[in-house]
Amino acid sequence: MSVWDKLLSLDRRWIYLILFVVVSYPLLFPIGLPLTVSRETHRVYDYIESLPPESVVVVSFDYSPSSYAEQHPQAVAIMNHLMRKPGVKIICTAFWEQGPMLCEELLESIDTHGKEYGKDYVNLGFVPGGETAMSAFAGDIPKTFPVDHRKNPIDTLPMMADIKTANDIDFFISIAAGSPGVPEIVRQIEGPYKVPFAAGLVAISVPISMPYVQSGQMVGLLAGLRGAAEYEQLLDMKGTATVGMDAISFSHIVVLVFIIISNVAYFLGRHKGGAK
Amino acid sequence: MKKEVPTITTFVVGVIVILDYFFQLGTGTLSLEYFSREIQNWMLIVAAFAMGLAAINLIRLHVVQIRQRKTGWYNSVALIITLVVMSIIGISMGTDSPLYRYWYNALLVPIDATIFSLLAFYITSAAYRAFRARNFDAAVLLVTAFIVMLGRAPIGEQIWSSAPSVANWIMDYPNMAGQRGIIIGSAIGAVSLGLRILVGMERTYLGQD
Repeated sequence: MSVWDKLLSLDRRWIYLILFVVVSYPLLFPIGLPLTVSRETHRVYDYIESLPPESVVVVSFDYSPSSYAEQHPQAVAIMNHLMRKPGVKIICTAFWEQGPMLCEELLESIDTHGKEYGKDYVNLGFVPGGETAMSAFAGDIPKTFPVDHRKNPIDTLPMMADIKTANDIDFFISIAAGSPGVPEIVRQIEGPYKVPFAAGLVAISVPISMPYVQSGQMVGLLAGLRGAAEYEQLLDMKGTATVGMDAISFSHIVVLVFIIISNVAYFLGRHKGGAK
Repeated sequence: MKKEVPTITTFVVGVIVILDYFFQLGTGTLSLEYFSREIQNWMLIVAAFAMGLAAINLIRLHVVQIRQRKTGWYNSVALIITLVVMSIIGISMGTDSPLYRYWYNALLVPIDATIFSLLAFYITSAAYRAFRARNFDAAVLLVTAFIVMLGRAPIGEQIWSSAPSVANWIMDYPNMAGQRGIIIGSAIGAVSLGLRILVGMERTYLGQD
Protein backbone atom coordinates (compact mmCIF):
# COMPACT_ATOMS: atom_id res chain seq x y z
CA MET A 1 0.00 0.00 0.00
CA SER A 2 1.48 3.34 -1.11
CA VAL A 3 1.67 6.37 1.15
CA TRP A 4 -1.18 7.94 -0.88
CA ASP A 5 -3.42 4.95 -0.30
CA LYS A 6 -2.63 5.08 3.41
CA LEU A 7 -3.54 8.76 3.46
CA LEU A 8 -6.82 8.11 1.64
CA SER A 9 -7.80 5.39 4.08
CA LEU A 10 -6.79 7.42 7.14
CA ASP A 11 -8.62 6.25 10.25
CA ARG A 12 -11.42 8.71 10.97
CA ARG A 13 -10.43 8.82 14.64
CA TRP A 14 -7.27 10.72 13.65
CA ILE A 15 -9.44 13.27 11.88
CA TYR A 16 -11.65 13.59 14.96
CA LEU A 17 -8.63 14.01 17.22
CA ILE A 18 -6.98 16.66 15.04
CA LEU A 19 -10.25 18.61 14.77
CA PHE A 20 -10.82 18.38 18.53
CA VAL A 21 -7.34 19.71 19.34
CA VAL A 22 -7.43 22.49 16.74
CA VAL A 23 -10.92 23.69 17.78
CA SER A 24 -10.13 23.50 21.50
CA TYR A 25 -7.04 25.70 21.30
CA PRO A 26 -8.74 28.99 20.30
CA LEU A 27 -11.55 28.32 22.80
CA LEU A 28 -8.98 28.13 25.59
CA PHE A 29 -6.71 30.87 24.21
CA PRO A 30 -8.81 33.28 22.08
CA ILE A 31 -6.94 35.07 19.32
CA GLY A 32 -9.56 37.65 18.35
CA LEU A 33 -9.36 37.53 14.56
CA PRO A 34 -10.88 40.65 12.98
CA LEU A 35 -14.41 40.23 11.63
CA THR A 36 -16.18 42.11 8.85
CA VAL A 37 -19.89 42.68 9.47
CA SER A 38 -22.02 41.34 6.61
CA ARG A 39 -24.69 43.52 5.00
CA GLU A 40 -27.47 41.08 6.09
CA THR A 41 -26.51 41.49 9.76
CA HIS A 42 -26.11 45.24 9.34
CA ARG A 43 -29.62 45.54 7.93
CA VAL A 44 -31.13 43.86 11.00
CA TYR A 45 -29.11 46.10 13.31
CA ASP A 46 -30.01 49.25 11.37
CA TYR A 47 -33.70 48.35 11.34
CA ILE A 48 -33.83 47.84 15.12
CA GLU A 49 -31.80 51.01 15.58
CA SER A 50 -34.38 52.96 13.57
CA LEU A 51 -37.38 51.73 15.59
CA PRO A 52 -39.15 54.62 17.34
CA PRO A 53 -40.24 54.37 21.01
CA GLU A 54 -43.48 52.41 21.59
CA SER A 55 -42.66 50.08 18.69
CA VAL A 56 -43.77 46.48 19.25
CA VAL A 57 -41.23 43.79 18.38
CA VAL A 58 -41.94 40.06 18.46
CA VAL A 59 -38.99 37.73 19.06
CA SER A 60 -39.96 34.16 18.30
CA PHE A 61 -37.79 31.48 19.89
CA ASP A 62 -38.14 28.80 17.23
CA TYR A 63 -35.17 26.64 18.10
CA SER A 64 -34.20 23.93 20.55
CA PRO A 65 -31.12 23.14 22.66
CA SER A 66 -29.60 21.20 19.73
CA SER A 67 -28.75 24.47 17.99
CA TYR A 68 -28.18 26.31 21.28
CA ALA A 69 -24.48 26.97 20.66
CA GLU A 70 -25.18 28.59 17.32
CA GLN A 71 -28.50 30.33 17.92
CA HIS A 72 -28.72 31.31 21.56
CA PRO A 73 -25.98 33.95 21.08
CA GLN A 74 -28.11 35.38 18.23
CA ALA A 75 -31.10 35.63 20.56
CA VAL A 76 -28.95 37.16 23.31
CA ALA A 77 -27.52 39.81 20.97
CA ILE A 78 -30.93 40.73 19.50
CA MET A 79 -32.60 40.88 22.93
CA ASN A 80 -29.75 42.98 24.31
CA HIS A 81 -30.24 45.47 21.50
CA LEU A 82 -34.01 45.58 22.00
CA MET A 83 -33.64 46.03 25.77
CA ARG A 84 -31.34 48.99 25.16
CA LYS A 85 -33.98 50.73 23.02
CA PRO A 86 -36.08 52.99 25.26
CA GLY A 87 -39.83 52.49 24.96
CA VAL A 88 -39.65 49.49 22.64
CA LYS A 89 -42.05 46.71 23.70
CA ILE A 90 -40.86 43.12 23.34
CA ILE A 91 -43.10 40.08 22.94
CA CYS A 92 -41.34 36.74 23.22
CA THR A 93 -43.19 33.81 21.73
CA ALA A 94 -42.39 30.32 20.41
CA PHE A 95 -43.68 27.94 17.79
CA TRP A 96 -41.13 25.36 18.94
CA GLU A 97 -41.99 23.74 22.27
CA GLN A 98 -38.67 24.44 23.96
CA GLY A 99 -38.58 28.10 23.00
CA PRO A 100 -40.21 29.54 26.16
CA MET A 101 -37.65 27.88 28.44
CA LEU A 102 -34.80 29.28 26.35
CA CYS A 103 -36.44 32.70 26.48
CA GLU A 104 -36.80 32.55 30.28
CA GLU A 105 -33.14 31.57 30.65
CA LEU A 106 -32.16 34.48 28.42
CA LEU A 107 -34.35 36.99 30.29
CA GLU A 108 -32.67 36.01 33.57
CA SER A 109 -29.19 36.46 32.13
CA ILE A 110 -29.41 39.88 30.45
CA ASP A 111 -29.67 43.46 31.64
CA THR A 112 -33.24 44.64 31.01
CA HIS A 113 -32.18 48.31 31.26
CA GLY A 114 -35.09 49.11 33.56
CA LYS A 115 -37.74 47.43 31.44
CA GLU A 116 -40.42 45.67 33.49
CA TYR A 117 -42.13 42.34 32.85
CA GLY A 118 -45.69 42.87 31.67
CA LYS A 119 -45.18 46.58 30.97
CA ASP A 120 -42.29 46.46 28.51
CA TYR A 121 -41.74 42.80 27.74
CA VAL A 122 -43.59 39.49 28.04
CA ASN A 123 -42.97 35.82 27.38
CA LEU A 124 -46.18 34.48 25.85
CA GLY A 125 -44.92 30.91 25.68
CA PHE A 126 -45.47 28.15 23.15
CA VAL A 127 -48.43 27.29 21.02
CA PRO A 128 -48.53 24.00 19.06
CA GLY A 129 -49.71 23.73 15.47
CA GLY A 130 -46.80 25.10 13.44
CA GLU A 131 -47.95 27.21 10.52
CA THR A 132 -51.60 27.18 11.62
CA ALA A 133 -50.51 28.47 15.03
CA MET A 134 -48.64 31.32 13.33
CA SER A 135 -51.75 32.23 11.37
CA ALA A 136 -53.90 32.07 14.53
CA PHE A 137 -51.36 34.22 16.40
CA ALA A 138 -51.31 36.82 13.65
CA GLY A 139 -55.11 36.99 13.51
CA ASP A 140 -55.90 37.05 17.23
CA ILE A 141 -53.06 37.21 19.76
CA PRO A 142 -55.15 37.19 23.00
CA LYS A 143 -57.18 34.21 21.82
CA THR A 144 -54.09 32.24 20.80
CA PHE A 145 -52.30 33.09 24.07
CA PRO A 146 -54.97 33.59 26.78
CA VAL A 147 -52.20 33.30 29.42
CA ASP A 148 -48.47 33.99 29.19
CA HIS A 149 -45.70 31.49 29.97
CA ARG A 150 -45.74 32.59 33.64
CA LYS A 151 -49.48 31.82 33.83
CA ASN A 152 -50.59 35.47 33.97
CA PRO A 153 -53.88 36.08 32.11
CA ILE A 154 -52.99 38.16 29.08
CA ASP A 155 -55.56 40.86 29.94
CA THR A 156 -53.65 41.57 33.18
CA LEU A 157 -50.48 42.50 31.24
CA PRO A 158 -50.57 46.28 30.62
CA MET A 159 -48.44 46.22 27.46
CA MET A 160 -50.80 43.73 25.77
CA ALA A 161 -53.85 46.01 26.12
CA ASP A 162 -53.50 47.46 22.62
CA ILE A 163 -51.77 44.55 20.92
CA LYS A 164 -54.41 42.33 19.35
CA THR A 165 -53.25 41.21 15.91
CA ALA A 166 -50.14 41.21 13.70
CA ASN A 167 -51.28 44.66 12.48
CA ASP A 168 -50.12 45.98 15.88
CA ILE A 169 -46.61 44.54 15.45
CA ASP A 170 -43.82 46.70 14.02
CA PHE A 171 -41.10 44.09 13.61
CA PHE A 172 -41.04 40.29 13.76
CA ILE A 173 -37.81 38.41 14.45
CA SER A 174 -37.56 34.65 14.50
CA ILE A 175 -34.57 32.75 15.77
CA ALA A 176 -35.41 29.80 13.56
CA ALA A 177 -33.71 26.42 13.40
CA GLY A 178 -36.03 24.73 10.92
CA SER A 179 -39.71 24.17 10.33
CA PRO A 180 -41.87 26.03 11.26
CA GLY A 181 -39.55 28.89 10.45
CA VAL A 182 -38.83 31.41 7.72
CA PRO A 183 -41.15 30.25 4.88
CA GLU A 184 -44.10 29.81 7.27
CA ILE A 185 -43.65 33.29 8.78
CA VAL A 186 -43.35 34.83 5.32
CA ARG A 187 -46.60 33.11 4.29
CA GLN A 188 -48.64 33.80 7.43
CA ILE A 189 -47.31 37.02 8.96
CA GLU A 190 -44.99 39.01 6.69
CA GLY A 191 -47.08 38.56 3.55
CA PRO A 192 -50.69 39.05 4.69
CA TYR A 193 -49.99 41.68 7.40
CA LYS A 194 -46.93 43.36 5.84
CA VAL A 195 -44.94 43.05 9.08
CA PRO A 196 -41.20 43.65 8.52
CA PHE A 197 -39.39 40.41 9.27
CA ALA A 198 -35.85 39.26 10.04
CA ALA A 199 -34.38 35.98 11.28
CA GLY A 200 -31.45 34.39 13.00
CA LEU A 201 -30.64 31.10 11.31
CA VAL A 202 -28.37 28.10 11.62
CA ALA A 203 -25.63 28.55 9.03
CA ILE A 204 -26.79 25.54 7.02
CA SER A 205 -30.22 27.05 6.31
CA VAL A 206 -28.91 30.45 5.18
CA PRO A 207 -28.62 29.64 1.43
CA ILE A 208 -32.29 28.56 1.16
CA SER A 209 -33.41 31.75 2.94
CA MET A 210 -31.33 34.21 0.90
CA PRO A 211 -34.01 34.66 -1.81
CA TYR A 212 -36.37 36.08 0.84
CA VAL A 213 -33.77 38.73 1.72
CA GLN A 214 -33.15 39.65 -1.91
CA SER A 215 -36.90 39.89 -2.61
CA GLY A 216 -37.37 42.24 0.36
CA GLN A 217 -39.57 39.80 2.28
CA MET A 218 -36.88 39.74 4.94
CA VAL A 219 -35.12 42.83 6.23
CA GLY A 220 -31.97 40.81 6.86
CA LEU A 221 -30.66 37.76 8.70
CA LEU A 222 -28.03 36.59 11.14
CA ALA A 223 -26.11 33.70 9.61
CA GLY A 224 -25.13 31.17 12.25
CA LEU A 225 -22.62 31.91 14.96
CA ARG A 226 -20.85 34.38 12.70
CA GLY A 227 -24.04 36.44 12.43
CA ALA A 228 -24.26 36.53 16.22
CA ALA A 229 -20.59 37.54 16.50
CA GLU A 230 -21.11 40.31 13.95
CA TYR A 231 -24.10 41.57 15.92
CA GLU A 232 -22.09 41.49 19.15
CA GLN A 233 -19.43 43.57 17.38
CA LEU A 234 -22.06 46.13 16.34
CA LEU A 235 -23.31 46.28 19.94
CA ASP A 236 -19.73 46.50 21.21
CA MET A 237 -20.27 43.51 23.49
CA LYS A 238 -18.05 40.46 23.97
CA GLY A 239 -20.32 37.45 24.04
CA THR A 240 -19.96 33.73 23.48
CA ALA A 241 -20.26 34.15 19.70
CA THR A 242 -17.19 36.40 19.52
CA VAL A 243 -15.22 33.85 21.54
CA GLY A 244 -16.44 31.03 19.31
CA MET A 245 -15.46 32.72 16.03
CA ASP A 246 -11.79 31.76 16.33
CA ALA A 247 -12.85 28.13 16.76
CA ILE A 248 -15.07 28.44 13.67
CA SER A 249 -12.11 29.83 11.69
CA PHE A 250 -9.83 27.04 12.81
CA SER A 251 -12.40 24.34 12.10
CA HIS A 252 -12.92 25.71 8.57
CA ILE A 253 -9.17 25.63 8.00
CA VAL A 254 -8.97 22.03 9.24
CA VAL A 255 -11.72 20.98 6.81
CA LEU A 256 -10.04 22.85 3.92
CA VAL A 257 -6.62 21.35 4.69
CA PHE A 258 -8.13 17.86 4.84
CA ILE A 259 -9.88 18.43 1.51
CA ILE A 260 -6.56 19.52 -0.07
CA ILE A 261 -4.68 16.52 1.38
CA SER A 262 -7.41 14.15 0.24
CA ASN A 263 -7.37 15.51 -3.34
CA VAL A 264 -3.58 15.58 -3.58
CA ALA A 265 -3.43 11.98 -2.35
CA TYR A 266 -6.23 11.01 -4.76
CA PHE A 267 -4.55 12.51 -7.83
CA LEU A 268 -1.00 11.43 -7.02
CA GLY A 269 -2.21 7.97 -6.03
CA ARG A 270 -4.19 7.65 -9.28
CA HIS A 271 -1.17 8.90 -11.26
CA LYS A 272 0.87 6.06 -9.75
CA GLY A 273 -1.93 3.59 -10.44
CA GLY A 274 -2.96 3.18 -6.83
CA ALA A 275 -6.01 5.04 -5.54
CA LYS A 276 -9.34 4.97 -7.39
CA MET B 1 -68.80 7.06 5.51
CA LYS B 2 -65.19 6.50 6.64
CA LYS B 3 -64.05 8.02 3.37
CA GLU B 4 -66.75 10.57 2.65
CA VAL B 5 -66.92 12.39 6.01
CA PRO B 6 -63.16 13.19 6.25
CA THR B 7 -63.02 14.13 2.55
CA ILE B 8 -66.01 16.50 2.80
CA THR B 9 -64.69 17.97 6.08
CA THR B 10 -61.28 18.56 4.47
CA PHE B 11 -62.89 20.24 1.45
CA VAL B 12 -65.14 22.55 3.48
CA VAL B 13 -62.45 23.51 5.99
CA GLY B 14 -59.81 23.97 3.28
CA VAL B 15 -62.03 26.16 1.08
CA ILE B 16 -63.00 28.43 4.03
CA VAL B 17 -59.37 28.97 5.10
CA ILE B 18 -58.13 29.53 1.53
CA LEU B 19 -60.93 31.99 0.69
CA ASP B 20 -60.28 33.88 3.94
CA TYR B 21 -56.62 34.29 2.94
CA PHE B 22 -57.61 36.15 -0.23
CA PHE B 23 -61.05 37.73 0.40
CA GLN B 24 -62.98 39.53 3.13
CA LEU B 25 -66.58 38.34 3.06
CA GLY B 26 -69.32 39.06 5.61
CA THR B 27 -69.13 40.77 8.98
CA GLY B 28 -68.96 39.72 12.64
CA THR B 29 -69.85 36.14 13.45
CA LEU B 30 -71.14 35.59 9.92
CA SER B 31 -67.84 36.50 8.26
CA LEU B 32 -65.44 34.18 6.51
CA GLU B 33 -62.69 35.47 8.79
CA TYR B 34 -64.63 34.42 11.90
CA PHE B 35 -65.13 30.87 10.61
CA SER B 36 -61.51 30.65 9.49
CA ARG B 37 -60.23 31.82 12.90
CA GLU B 38 -62.47 29.29 14.68
CA ILE B 39 -61.18 26.48 12.48
CA GLN B 40 -57.60 27.52 13.19
CA ASN B 41 -58.31 27.52 16.94
CA TRP B 42 -59.72 24.00 16.65
CA MET B 43 -56.53 23.04 14.85
CA LEU B 44 -54.46 24.32 17.80
CA ILE B 45 -56.52 22.15 20.18
CA VAL B 46 -56.10 19.13 17.90
CA ALA B 47 -52.32 19.83 17.69
CA ALA B 48 -52.07 19.99 21.50
CA PHE B 49 -54.02 16.73 21.76
CA ALA B 50 -51.74 15.16 19.13
CA MET B 51 -48.70 15.93 21.29
CA GLY B 52 -50.22 13.91 24.14
CA LEU B 53 -51.09 11.14 21.71
CA ALA B 54 -47.52 11.16 20.39
CA ALA B 55 -46.18 10.73 23.95
CA ILE B 56 -48.47 7.72 24.53
CA ASN B 57 -47.41 6.21 21.22
CA LEU B 58 -43.76 6.72 22.09
CA ILE B 59 -44.21 4.94 25.42
CA ARG B 60 -46.03 2.01 23.76
CA LEU B 61 -43.26 1.64 21.18
CA HIS B 62 -40.49 1.63 23.76
CA VAL B 63 -42.34 -0.71 26.14
CA VAL B 64 -42.37 -3.23 23.28
CA GLN B 65 -38.62 -2.64 22.78
CA ILE B 66 -37.99 -3.38 26.47
CA ARG B 67 -40.28 -6.43 26.65
CA GLN B 68 -38.66 -8.03 23.62
CA ARG B 69 -35.14 -7.09 24.80
CA LYS B 70 -34.33 -5.60 21.41
CA THR B 71 -30.88 -4.09 20.74
CA GLY B 72 -30.40 -0.98 22.87
CA TRP B 73 -33.48 -1.73 25.03
CA TYR B 74 -31.80 0.00 27.98
CA ASN B 75 -31.98 3.29 26.03
CA SER B 76 -35.75 2.80 25.95
CA VAL B 77 -35.74 2.43 29.76
CA ALA B 78 -33.84 5.71 30.07
CA LEU B 79 -36.29 7.39 27.70
CA ILE B 80 -39.38 6.22 29.59
CA ILE B 81 -37.95 7.17 32.99
CA THR B 82 -36.98 10.69 31.87
CA LEU B 83 -40.27 11.16 30.00
CA VAL B 84 -42.33 10.14 33.03
CA VAL B 85 -40.23 12.07 35.56
CA MET B 86 -40.14 15.26 33.47
CA SER B 87 -43.89 15.02 32.80
CA ILE B 88 -44.72 14.55 36.49
CA ILE B 89 -42.48 17.44 37.56
CA GLY B 90 -43.69 19.68 34.73
CA ILE B 91 -47.39 19.02 35.33
CA SER B 92 -47.31 19.06 39.15
CA MET B 93 -44.75 21.83 39.79
CA GLY B 94 -44.78 23.74 36.51
CA THR B 95 -42.13 24.15 33.82
CA ASP B 96 -40.75 27.19 35.67
CA SER B 97 -40.06 25.23 38.88
CA PRO B 98 -36.37 25.00 39.91
CA LEU B 99 -36.43 21.18 39.76
CA TYR B 100 -37.80 21.09 36.21
CA ARG B 101 -35.35 23.74 35.07
CA TYR B 102 -32.48 21.88 36.73
CA TRP B 103 -33.28 18.72 34.77
CA TYR B 104 -33.76 20.75 31.63
CA ASN B 105 -30.54 22.73 31.92
CA ALA B 106 -28.38 19.96 33.35
CA LEU B 107 -29.55 17.14 31.10
CA LEU B 108 -31.46 18.09 28.00
CA VAL B 109 -29.53 21.20 26.94
CA PRO B 110 -26.02 19.67 27.10
CA ILE B 111 -27.10 16.31 25.62
CA ASP B 112 -28.95 17.93 22.73
CA ALA B 113 -26.13 20.39 22.04
CA THR B 114 -23.51 17.62 22.19
CA ILE B 115 -25.32 15.44 19.67
CA PHE B 116 -25.65 18.39 17.28
CA SER B 117 -21.99 19.34 17.80
CA LEU B 118 -20.86 15.84 16.83
CA LEU B 119 -21.86 16.81 13.30
CA ALA B 120 -18.64 18.86 13.06
CA PHE B 121 -16.62 15.64 13.35
CA TYR B 122 -18.76 13.72 10.88
CA ILE B 123 -18.73 16.57 8.37
CA THR B 124 -14.92 16.86 8.52
CA SER B 125 -14.52 13.11 8.07
CA ALA B 126 -17.09 13.03 5.26
CA ALA B 127 -15.45 16.00 3.52
CA TYR B 128 -12.10 14.23 3.65
CA ARG B 129 -13.51 11.08 2.06
CA ALA B 130 -16.10 12.41 -0.37
CA PHE B 131 -14.97 15.87 -1.51
CA ARG B 132 -12.77 14.75 -4.40
CA ALA B 133 -12.51 16.25 -7.88
CA ARG B 134 -13.37 12.98 -9.60
CA ASN B 135 -15.01 14.74 -12.58
CA PHE B 136 -15.83 18.25 -13.81
CA ASP B 137 -19.09 18.57 -11.78
CA ALA B 138 -17.38 17.43 -8.58
CA ALA B 139 -14.52 19.87 -9.25
CA VAL B 140 -16.96 22.80 -9.63
CA LEU B 141 -18.69 21.82 -6.36
CA LEU B 142 -15.34 21.46 -4.63
CA VAL B 143 -13.98 24.84 -5.73
CA THR B 144 -17.27 26.59 -4.88
CA ALA B 145 -17.45 25.04 -1.43
CA PHE B 146 -13.79 25.87 -0.83
CA ILE B 147 -14.29 29.55 -1.64
CA VAL B 148 -17.53 29.88 0.36
CA MET B 149 -15.94 28.23 3.41
CA LEU B 150 -12.94 30.51 3.14
CA GLY B 151 -15.15 33.56 2.69
CA ARG B 152 -17.37 32.74 5.66
CA ALA B 153 -14.59 32.30 8.23
CA PRO B 154 -12.79 35.38 9.63
CA ILE B 155 -9.43 33.73 8.97
CA GLY B 156 -10.37 33.45 5.28
CA GLU B 157 -10.28 37.25 4.99
CA GLN B 158 -6.72 37.23 6.35
CA ILE B 159 -5.61 34.54 3.89
CA TRP B 160 -7.31 36.04 0.82
CA SER B 161 -8.88 39.48 1.16
CA SER B 162 -11.29 38.92 -1.76
CA ALA B 163 -12.66 35.68 -0.30
CA PRO B 164 -15.75 37.31 1.33
CA SER B 165 -16.74 39.22 -1.81
CA VAL B 166 -16.29 36.17 -4.06
CA ALA B 167 -18.27 34.06 -1.54
CA ASN B 168 -21.00 36.72 -1.51
CA TRP B 169 -21.15 36.67 -5.32
CA ILE B 170 -21.58 32.88 -5.26
CA MET B 171 -24.36 33.21 -2.66
CA ASP B 172 -26.09 36.09 -4.50
CA TYR B 173 -26.11 34.72 -8.05
CA PRO B 174 -25.60 30.96 -8.62
CA ASN B 175 -26.97 30.02 -5.18
CA MET B 176 -29.86 32.49 -5.36
CA ALA B 177 -30.91 31.25 -8.79
CA GLY B 178 -30.83 27.62 -7.69
CA GLN B 179 -32.61 28.21 -4.38
CA ARG B 180 -35.29 30.34 -6.00
CA GLY B 181 -35.95 27.55 -8.48
CA ILE B 182 -36.27 25.06 -5.63
CA ILE B 183 -38.63 27.36 -3.68
CA ILE B 184 -40.88 28.03 -6.70
CA GLY B 185 -40.87 24.36 -7.67
CA SER B 186 -41.79 23.17 -4.21
CA ALA B 187 -44.50 25.86 -3.92
CA ILE B 188 -46.10 24.68 -7.18
CA GLY B 189 -45.87 21.12 -5.88
CA ALA B 190 -47.53 22.13 -2.60
CA VAL B 191 -50.38 23.92 -4.42
CA SER B 192 -50.91 20.90 -6.63
CA LEU B 193 -50.90 18.52 -3.64
CA GLY B 194 -53.24 20.84 -1.73
CA LEU B 195 -55.72 20.85 -4.62
CA ARG B 196 -55.58 17.05 -4.91
CA ILE B 197 -56.29 16.73 -1.18
CA LEU B 198 -59.15 19.25 -1.34
CA VAL B 199 -60.96 17.48 -4.16
CA GLY B 200 -60.36 14.07 -2.60
CA MET B 201 -57.92 12.72 -5.20
CA GLU B 202 -55.17 12.35 -2.60
CA ARG B 203 -56.17 10.28 0.43
CA THR B 204 -52.90 9.04 1.83
CA TYR B 205 -53.41 11.33 4.85
CA LEU B 206 -56.39 9.10 5.71
CA GLY B 207 -54.14 6.07 5.75
CA GLN B 208 -55.27 4.93 2.29
CA ASP B 209 -53.44 4.63 -1.06
